[in-house]
Order: sequence, then C-alpha cells, then structure tokens
Amino acid sequence: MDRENIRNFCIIAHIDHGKSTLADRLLESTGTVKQRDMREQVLDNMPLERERGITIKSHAITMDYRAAGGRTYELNLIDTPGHVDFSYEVSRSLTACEGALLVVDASQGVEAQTVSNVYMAIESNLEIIPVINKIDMKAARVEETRAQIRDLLGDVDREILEVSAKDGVGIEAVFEAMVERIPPPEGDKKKSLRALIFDSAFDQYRGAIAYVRVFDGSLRPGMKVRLFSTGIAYEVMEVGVFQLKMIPRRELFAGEVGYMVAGIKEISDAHVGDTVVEAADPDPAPLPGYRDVKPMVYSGLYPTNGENFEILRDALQKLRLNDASLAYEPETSGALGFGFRCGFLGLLHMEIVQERLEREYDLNLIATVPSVRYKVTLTDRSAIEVENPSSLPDPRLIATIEEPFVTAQIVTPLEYMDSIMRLVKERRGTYSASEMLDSRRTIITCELPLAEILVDFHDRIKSLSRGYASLDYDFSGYRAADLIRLDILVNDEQVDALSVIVHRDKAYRWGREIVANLKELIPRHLFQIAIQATIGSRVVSRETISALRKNVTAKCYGGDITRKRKLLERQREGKRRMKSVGRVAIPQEAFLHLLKVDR
Amino acid sequence: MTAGGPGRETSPGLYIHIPYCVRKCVYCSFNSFETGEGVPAEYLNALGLDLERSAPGWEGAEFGSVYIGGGTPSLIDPEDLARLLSEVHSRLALAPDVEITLEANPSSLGRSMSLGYREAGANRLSVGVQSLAPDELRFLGRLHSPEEALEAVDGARAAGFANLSCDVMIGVPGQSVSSLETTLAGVAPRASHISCYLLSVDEGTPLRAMVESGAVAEQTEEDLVSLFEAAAGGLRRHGLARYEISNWARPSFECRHNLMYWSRGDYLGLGAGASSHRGGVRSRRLERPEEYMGALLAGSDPVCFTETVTAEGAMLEEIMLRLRTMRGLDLEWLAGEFSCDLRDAGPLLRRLQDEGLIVRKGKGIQLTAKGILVSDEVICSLSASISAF
Repeated sequence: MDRENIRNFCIIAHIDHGKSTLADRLLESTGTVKQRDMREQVLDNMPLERERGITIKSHAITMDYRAAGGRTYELNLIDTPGHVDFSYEVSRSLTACEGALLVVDASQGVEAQTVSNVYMAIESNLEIIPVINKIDMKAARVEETRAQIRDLLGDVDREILEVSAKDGVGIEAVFEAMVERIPPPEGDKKKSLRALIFDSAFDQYRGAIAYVRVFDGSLRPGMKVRLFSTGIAYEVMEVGVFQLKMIPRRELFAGEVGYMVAGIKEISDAHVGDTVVEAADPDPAPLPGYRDVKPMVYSGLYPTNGENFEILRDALQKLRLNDASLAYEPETSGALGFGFRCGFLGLLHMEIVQERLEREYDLNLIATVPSVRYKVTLTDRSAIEVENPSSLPDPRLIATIEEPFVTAQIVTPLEYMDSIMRLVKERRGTYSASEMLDSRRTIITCELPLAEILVDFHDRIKSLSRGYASLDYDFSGYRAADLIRLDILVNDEQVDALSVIVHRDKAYRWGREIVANLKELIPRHLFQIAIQATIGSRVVSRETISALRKNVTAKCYGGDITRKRKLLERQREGKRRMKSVGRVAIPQEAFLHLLKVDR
Repeated sequence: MTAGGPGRETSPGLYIHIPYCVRKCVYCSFNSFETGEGVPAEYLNALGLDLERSAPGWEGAEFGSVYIGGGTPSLIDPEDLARLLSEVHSRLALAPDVEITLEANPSSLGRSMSLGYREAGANRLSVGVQSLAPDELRFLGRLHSPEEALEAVDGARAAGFANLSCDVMIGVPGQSVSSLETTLAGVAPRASHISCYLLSVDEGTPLRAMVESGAVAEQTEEDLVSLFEAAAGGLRRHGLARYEISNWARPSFECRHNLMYWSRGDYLGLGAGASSHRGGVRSRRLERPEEYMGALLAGSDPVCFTETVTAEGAMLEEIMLRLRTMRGLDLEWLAGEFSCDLRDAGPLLRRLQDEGLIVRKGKGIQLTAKGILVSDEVICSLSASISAF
C-alpha cells in the first residue's frame, strides 16, 4: 500500500462513551467484519472486558476503506487500553498513530480520563477529530459538549462530528474526516529498520507476537532483527496485519501497522515501547520514549485453601504469559501461609488480575491490604525498597521514608467540589489548580500520596458526586513523609498480614478501626482474646473478646445423628478454613474486611 | 474390649415415634402435630405394618431397649400400647431384662393410666415435668400445674414404675437459680433419673419469633451458666450422678436406650420421621404422618433418606457422641479403629486440659463440668485437629 493512502488512528474515550460501538460500526461499514460474525463489540474479546465495558489489552485492526473520491485507503485502528493504570501503554499506542478520534458521550460530557488522554495525544502531535456520540439520547447536551471540547482543545474552529454509533448515524462523515484530516504516516522505507512495539500477545505455539508500527525501513520474513532494549537478536518468521485473525503479508513497510512473529519466547522479552532494529545495524537509533514499566501497587495473594498454592503459582505463570506488567514472587505469612507478593500497574490492574484468578482458575483468594513501594533510607545511609509493610525495618534504623505521589485530575460538577476537596485533604492531598470546563464543571488538579488512593478513593469520589465526578492520575515522583508501621497483635502475637504503613497522624484512627472490626469478626474462643494495635512498643488501641462460657447442645434428640454430624462437619470445615495466629483462629473474612476499613 | 469399642451397648434398641400432641409447646421443634383425640388408629396400624416390613432385617438381633417417644406418647391408650408391644414381642427378639420406656406428659398421666402402661409392659417412664414454677409452666405452654406434675409422678411410682425419669428445663425466661432449686427439690427425690435440658430457641418455633420480636428476652450466657451449674450441684446433693451432658441417674438407673445412641449402637426407628442405624448405615423415615402412613398402606418403603457413613464420618460421630458421656473417649481405641492421626490433637489436648475443660482418664479423655458447658466448641476443635487417613 502506498504510504499516502495509509491512516493510522486510535480512539480516545472515557469508559462507556461508546468507543467499542463506534469501532464496531467502522469494521462493519468497511466489510472487515461480516455482519454475521459480529459479536457486539468485537474488539473487547475477553469476557471481563465485555462485562466492565473497558479494554484491558490493546488491539489493532486493519480495514480497507473506499473513499468518496474513489481512492482506497488502509485504515489501521490501534485500540488503546481504557484505564489509567495502562497509561504508558496508551502513550505507546498513541505514538504509533497520526490521528485520534476523540469520542465524547453527549449526555456525559468530557471526563477526567478523556482530558489526560487528550493531553497525551496532543503531546504526540496527533490530529484530533472530535466526535460527539449518543446524539440521539434524550439526555444529550450536544451544544454543551461541543463547548467543552472546544475548551479542551483550545480551538474554536475545529469541525466537531456528531454521531450515534449505536444506530450508525454519521459514520460516513467520520471516515471522510479521517482520510482528509489525518496526515499519512511519514517514514522512509529505504532507511534502516525502526519499528515500535506498541503491544504484544502470547501464542502458545509461536511465542510472543509483537504488535508493531514500522517507522523506517521494512520488516519481512527471513530478516535478522534485534530488540534494542534487550539486545537479543531474532529471525523474523512471519509478518502480517490484523483483521479478525492474523493475515500474513510479504512485507510491512514504513508507515504500516501489523504483527511480527520472530520466535520471541516470552512476552516479557517483547517490551512495549521497545524498538525493533536490523540485527546488522551497527549504530541503530531507537525510537524515543521507551520506559521500563515497574509495578506501582503491591498486594499479597494467598489461596484460602493452602493446598491450592501450586494452582495459584500455575495461574500466575499463565497470566504473566500475556501480561508482562504483572510481577510476583513467593511470600510467606505467619497468618496466611504460602502465597505471592504481586505487583500491579495500578488498582484496576490488581482487581482484574484477582478477578481472573478467581474466575478462570477457580481460586478463592485472600488479598492483603494493597501497599505501594516505599523508598527507605537507613541510618547507615544505605537504601532499600519496601513493598510489604511487615518487612519495614525497626524505626530506630530508619532515617527517612519516601512514598510515591501522583498528580490526580478530578473532573466534577461544581456543587461537589467542596466535598471532593475535603476528601483530598483527608487523604493528605494538596490542591494545585482548578479550571472550569464549562459553566457547570471544573477540573481539579492535586497531588496525592498513591497509598491514600489505593483502596476506596475512586469509590468515595463517585459516591460524593452521585457518580458524576471522574478521576485520573499519573505517577509524579517520590516524597518524604512521616510514615510509621502499625501492627496488629492478637493475644500478643503479631499478625503480619494485617500490618500497614500509615502516616503518623492517621495511625490512631486506623488502629481503632481495625481493632474494632476484628472484635466483631473473630468468634469467641474458649479463652479471652486481646486485640491490640501498636506502633513499635506503644499500644494505640485495644479491645477484648471475652471467653466463651456456654456452647452446648443439650439434647441429642431421637437418634437423628446424621443431622448433628453434618452440623459438626460444617463447623469443623469452618474452623479448618480459619487462619491461626497462635491459638486464635481468625476467619478469612477478617482479612477481606480490612479493605473496607474507613481511613 | 468389645467388638464395638469400649463401653458399646452391644444390644440394639427399638425406637417408636408418636408424632401427636394435644397442643404443641412454644419451644418445640420436634416432629409432632396437634391432634384432637388420642393416637389415631390408622397410625397405630401403620406402625404395625412398618414393624412387619422391618423385622425380617433384624432377625437374630436381641433388643436391649424399647423407647416410645414423641410428641406425646402418653396419648396412647394403655390397651393400644399393650397391643403394640405384643406385636413387637412377636416380631423381634427382646432381651429378658429389656428396658421399655414411655415418654409421658403429666397432664395425660393419671394413676390409672400409669397402671395401664405398667400392665401393658412398659417398665420405665420419662415424665415431662419441665418445671414446678407456675410462671415457667405457663410460659412454656405446658398444660399441667406443678401439683398435677407431682401427682403424676407419685401415681407412676405407686403404679410400680421404680425406674422413673423426669425432664427438667433449664433456661426458661424468668427462671432463677432458686426457682430451679425448688423444682429439683420437688422432683429429684421422686425420680431415679433426671434429664436436664437447656431450653433452645429453635428455628421456626413460636418462641423464636417471640425472641426475635423482642417480646421475650433470652437468659444471658452468665445466667445460663449459673443455672446449669446449679442443676449439677443440686442433683449431686440429691444423690444423682451425671453420666451424660444432660442426664443424671441413681446407681444402675442410667438409660440403656440413650447409652446405646451415645455409643453408636444399632437401632431400629419406627414411625414418622424416626431415624435408624445399622452397621454404619443411617436412615430416616418420612416425617409427615400422612405421608408415612400413606407409604405403608401402599405397601412401599417409608424410608426417605439413607446414607452409608464414611470412615471419617464414623470417626466424627464417635468423637461427638462418646464425649457426651462421662465414660469419655478412648483415644488409643479411636486411633486404632480409624487409623486417624492424633499428632495435631496433642497440643490441643494439653491446652484443653490446662484450661480445665477435659481430664485424662486412662487412655482417654473426658469432659469436666466446665468443659460440658462448652462441649460443642471442644468437640469441634478436637474434630478439626484430627484427620483420618
């Protein structure tokens, strides 16, 4: 295909604003997918994606479009993951494009996530084509949305399209705008190869399949290539483009988007953002923007039934085949037994992994309170990183602790601004700026410790604003803070899985809450149980569970031993599932419940 | 050691269920139904058919006990009882010293009835006195007064029932230690056996609804503990020894039939909802009297549930049942019988001992008075720490 006739684009949209539906219409109109093969929202092919209405992994698909003028174009839709946790992947996908469709729901308006993705697209110099979707809805506020988009783009003259992706209204205009307004890719096919890996997938027979955008030169089977960051060389076995399945091509030229099979064994070897170069190139110039992505959020995952440890290990291994950003290593907890410390890109990533483990591998898991990675400088000036609160050294050995911060953007209707600002303050956040999006909504920018938004920040924002506010955040660096470790002791034994690192000002409240919760959740035992929250040797909260005095079935009636035995079997199973700390049996709910403790 | 384990009642028992009452008590969750008259002739007829069907399976077994429970078995006419027992005699082999118990309600137990039952062949009566405090009897919805209860007991003794048990209820809302002691002082000297049951607030009973609506306040845990302890102390002073969690007897008046249950013995249960056990197979008959009678009239099997108890299940039963009695649980026997692993139980046993909940007794263990109060927890802990393989 002539470079002039290629258009590479992505779709930027907030969850549920209609990205997938619009993509479906584009695929249908170009005949890429036949109506009868059309499952609704073809691109979201993981059940979890369909359910949550989000795209977890990127996809790419090539369509042929015959324009009004008679010319046929190759349109490459590079689908971006729809969540903040994957912002690095989003940025790489954007780099692979020249244009972006900005889809905004006419009834919802611009949201925080849209804003940050638009900024990213502007930084990548993409031609942005705004599209207002769902214009047919009763609640549609087309003019208002139009004004918001103009404010966002700082451009009053740009043409804004209006569509109803659901009913296929206005789709033709979208195609025409794309071929007219998005510039064709640049690049020189005669130069030495430079191709960007913007995503990858794992195939059990062919290994990692790299999704690439060729910037210079060309890629063809038989070529010897090297991945710049790892320095490992491979022989290209196959190249091609995506339609509903992979279609092999003889060659991928500069400007084109497709896939490469090169016997790359593991997905962790095909880093997103890496550059594919010719193995023989003596002085390759990598494409800019490569970053080694590190997990931001950590949590211990333990099988509720200790016997399932190996199943969990296998499951994590299998998930990692397709998700190089998932990190894990074995970990032992006195209370929970054998499990894994897992690292995730963010909260949604964590939730998705947990849900997939439980659903696809039929595992019941206990997840410990999520934590971030702290940078700790010891008094001897050595530095360590701590991902598990229970491995924080003795406070006397610590000089400083630094924690990760994020820059958060919250889009909210004006009337909820005060309560959201209060919440930000409660979470140790600082306000940086706010700007009106339109007459009713504002966008607040603030700095927050990542640890403070891990558990329920997003939910709180949603409930404070009756669902109207939206949140987006990006890692902004480490800052020192007055942090301490709060331990929970049950009959004087420390429960490692319940330790948390918190700000000193919040330690008392946190301690009181956990202790009060545990008092309700731990059943009475044959002896008295003391529950304490401590900082070092100082007790900040204490509750007592009195000893059980009476628990007796007075009558074993009428010889119905079966019922009695079955009751005992159930109680026995319940007892066995509990986690023992010393002599105290703690039900699993106690560990799960902590995620809901009000901070 | 006998084949059935230490202290196993080797003779099987026969249970006959009479699922009828004049009025159902507020706390009752048993399989019983209100009836205008006595025990319907159709039901007695069905029992006969049931016996006829079941007896061939028990050929060669010599029954050591017969227990007629309910419901209110004393609604049965003595002549009907005589006929029923003679049918039992003709179809099953009974031991020469067979214990034949009839549960009786004081309100339907005049002296002539007692005499009639004695003549019909019953040699043990279990009288549902429950309390001698008028307030408590009213609360429980019992139809008799304290005086009537004592008259019934005295009448039974006069009729020749030397083996006589009385039920006493503990934990009735409003009951105090002193009212309990008054009840025991009235009942204990007249009885050779006392069963003291804690009032339980069961699902589906009017009492449960009353408690849930707040109309009735349950006794606190502390008060129940005091009452249970007072009962144990009082009965000991009256010369009765505890031989099971809820049962006390004068020497040699322990209930053979109940001991059979607690040693996992075999028993045949006739009647609606009655349970049976034979050689590790447990079964239950249809609960609703109409269905039970219907099945038998149609010539079909009234058994609606059967299970073969697994080795692990049998082990749990042994732990659960044997620990109820003061004979205790022989751990060496248990380990041998079920090849079960007692390693994890070791530290637990030591702790339970340190806390004064169990005592070592020979090669076994036994609950203490304190342990009895939390026996469900002790039994559950032990069960959880022992694994069969």
